[in-house]
Amino acid sequence: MTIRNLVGFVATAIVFIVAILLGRVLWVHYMDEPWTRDGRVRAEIVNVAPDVSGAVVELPVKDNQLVRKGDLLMQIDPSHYEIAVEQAQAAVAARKAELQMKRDDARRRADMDSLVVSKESQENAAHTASAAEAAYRRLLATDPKSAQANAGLAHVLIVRKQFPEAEKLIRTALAQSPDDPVLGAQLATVLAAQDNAEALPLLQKLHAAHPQDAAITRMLADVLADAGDAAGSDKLYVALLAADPDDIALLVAHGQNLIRQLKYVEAAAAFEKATKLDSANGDAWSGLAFAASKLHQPSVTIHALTMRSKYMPEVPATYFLWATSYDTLNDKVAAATYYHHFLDSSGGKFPDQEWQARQRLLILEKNK
Amino acid sequence: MPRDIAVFDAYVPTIVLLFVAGAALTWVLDRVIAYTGVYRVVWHPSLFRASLLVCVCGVLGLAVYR
Repeated sequence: MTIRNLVGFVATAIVFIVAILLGRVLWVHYMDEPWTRDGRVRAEIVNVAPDVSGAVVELPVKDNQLVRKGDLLMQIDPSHYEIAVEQAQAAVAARKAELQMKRDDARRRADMDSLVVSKESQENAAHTASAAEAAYRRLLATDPKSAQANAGLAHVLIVRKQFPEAEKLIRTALAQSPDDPVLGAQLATVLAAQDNAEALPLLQKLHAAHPQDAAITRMLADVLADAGDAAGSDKLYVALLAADPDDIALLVAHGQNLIRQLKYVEAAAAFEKATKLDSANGDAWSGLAFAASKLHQPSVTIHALTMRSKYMPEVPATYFLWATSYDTLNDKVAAATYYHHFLDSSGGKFPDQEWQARQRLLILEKNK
Repeated sequence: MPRDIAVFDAYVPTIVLLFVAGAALTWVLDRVIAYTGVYRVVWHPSLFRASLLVCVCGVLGLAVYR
């Protein structure tokens, strides 16, 4: 009987305790723990707006991803803007072409006699060139880093021979895009025009970086020739001529270089080719006359001098060439006349030749 | 399971319905236990029945909400 009472008590107590525990767990779960009816969800929302409008083509960030300053959040369809850039570049190119045309006009008109072209059209041409310069400046104001606009403006300044201003502009632009070959070449042009010693190392660097660029190679060759390195510059001229055998300016520069190296036969050949290509090139005729006189071909010299005199005024050196040629041909009267011309015009600048002229005159006029 | 159930267009907490169902279930259990004569053994039948009701309702509530 007692055991039965004990089992009944224990069963009741267990059920009671379990009921209390279950009730407590359910109470805690239902009343104390948070659930949706009590909850408020709030998130930090930052509105992000792009600088430019357009369709989003790529969204490389994921939900809840940690991003840092400078990370790419989304990519906007670039095609419109690429087209706009191309249009702007085309506009620059068009302006450049326009400028070139205007400048050519301006130069042509400036060359012509004021009787032929009215003052009005001369001024107009100069003003349109200024307008092109202003257009470049406006382009620069909207995009000061545009290497092309900088190069264009620098070009205008170089053509106007405003070298210090151009140099300043180019150096500023180069600081932003130091590898721009156009700006580098322009800086070299400006430096070479100002006889700045920096031009040579700069050109050598540019040439090493862009060995195929004919304009840079030519400039380097010219500067080398001016610096007295005839052999070095001639190598470049030969290379340039191989690419463009009919370039008259190149032929003339090459010939002058050959004369400096005392290679008169080759020089005469180069000048002769140049005169055949362009019979109005006075420099080529001068070179040919000089080379021929060194080769003791007085008739060729006289022919070249005659042709030259059509396009360029006589200078003391040509008088001397005339005189020695006639002297070689035994035309004493003509030789004496030109020796006198030479002595009258030289004014002590060519002491050796003047001494020779006086000696010859003594002999020529004694025999008379 | 939803926390609220619409009964005649009024939202009633699900737990209320569960407790009603629990009460019905307990009544059935109570009848079974009375039939088997277990109540004659337990120490305090009223406390036992009340605890049984709490247990059934608590188990149902936890089963649904956990």
